[in-house]
Amino acid sequence: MKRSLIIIILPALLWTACSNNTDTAISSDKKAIKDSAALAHIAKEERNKRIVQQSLEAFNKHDVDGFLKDASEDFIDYFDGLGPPVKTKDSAKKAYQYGFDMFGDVKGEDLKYSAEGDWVAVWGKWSGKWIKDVNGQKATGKRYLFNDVDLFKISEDGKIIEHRGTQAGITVSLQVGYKLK
Amino acid sequence: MKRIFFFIIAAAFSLVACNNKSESTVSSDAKDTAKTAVDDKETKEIRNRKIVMESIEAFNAHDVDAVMKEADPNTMEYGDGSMTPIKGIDSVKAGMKMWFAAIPDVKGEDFKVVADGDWVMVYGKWTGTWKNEFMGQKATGKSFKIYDVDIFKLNEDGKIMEHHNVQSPQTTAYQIGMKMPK
Repeated sequence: MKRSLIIIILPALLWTACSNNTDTAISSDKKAIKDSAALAHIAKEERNKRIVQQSLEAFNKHDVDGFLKDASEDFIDYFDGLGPPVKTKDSAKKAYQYGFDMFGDVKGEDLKYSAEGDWVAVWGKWSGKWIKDVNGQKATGKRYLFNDVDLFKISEDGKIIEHRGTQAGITVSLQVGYKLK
Repeated sequence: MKRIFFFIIAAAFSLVACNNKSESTVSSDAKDTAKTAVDDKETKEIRNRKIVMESIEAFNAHDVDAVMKEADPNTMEYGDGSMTPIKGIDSVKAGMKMWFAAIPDVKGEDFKVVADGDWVMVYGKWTGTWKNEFMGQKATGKSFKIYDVDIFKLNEDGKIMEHHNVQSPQTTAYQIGMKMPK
């Protein structure tokens, strides 16, 4: 009888111990889901930073195709937000090629990448020299230099769908001597 | 005997199950450190974002004290980097009061926020009309509209240590007809 009792009690005790573990496991499972969501979130932000970093490395080489390699076909560029946006990847390529021709050595330096959710912000120093005549105005050969933040919006599948610069075109014009109308 | 055998097997299975749970607990403990770091980072970023957005809301209410409520006494104002930085809450407050007096309707809207580590970046549209004298210059009544990014660095205690922005003051000055000091 004693032996039978031990045999009955032992599994019961173990069952209870495991039941407590099951409760802990459920709450730990919930935590695991929350943690894995947080980790996935951070992984996405790091991926987005990498995409933008590769894009800007191509920008600094004046490689328009490389710069917009991960842009979606319906990519929108708002530039400084003060003029009409440029819509589609092909139109953006033409606009950037125009910029590379106008400012021969345009480049970004000391770039600092931050990300939250779908957005990547890049804070850095930008400079360039006006070398090509445009709109009937002769190139002055003057340089511009300013700090700027560029914002990129990245889709779930890692496509750049939107870009916004911050520094106004007015700043560039005033620094390089381009006459504003 | 059959019954006893059943209970022994049941007990053995229970033990194995419990042991497996223990092993997975150990391996999950090992991951906890990394996950805690992730949680801490997210918690800090959420806190920093809240502090900064409260400061910007106070700016829109032109409440200078509330804007600087979470600023460190030695906070640094770097502007766009083209001028000498300003050190300390009182100096920053004085400059802000002058700006609110000259442009009484200055406000920001349509914000996009990126909080990452110690930094919070706030992209937004800023507008205002130059209505009152500013540093000896008469108001032109002209308005400005610019986009800017305000960049804040916070310390571990949630105090704002630095503020930067990127839009050149030349842009605003050009739009409202203000002469920039040489």
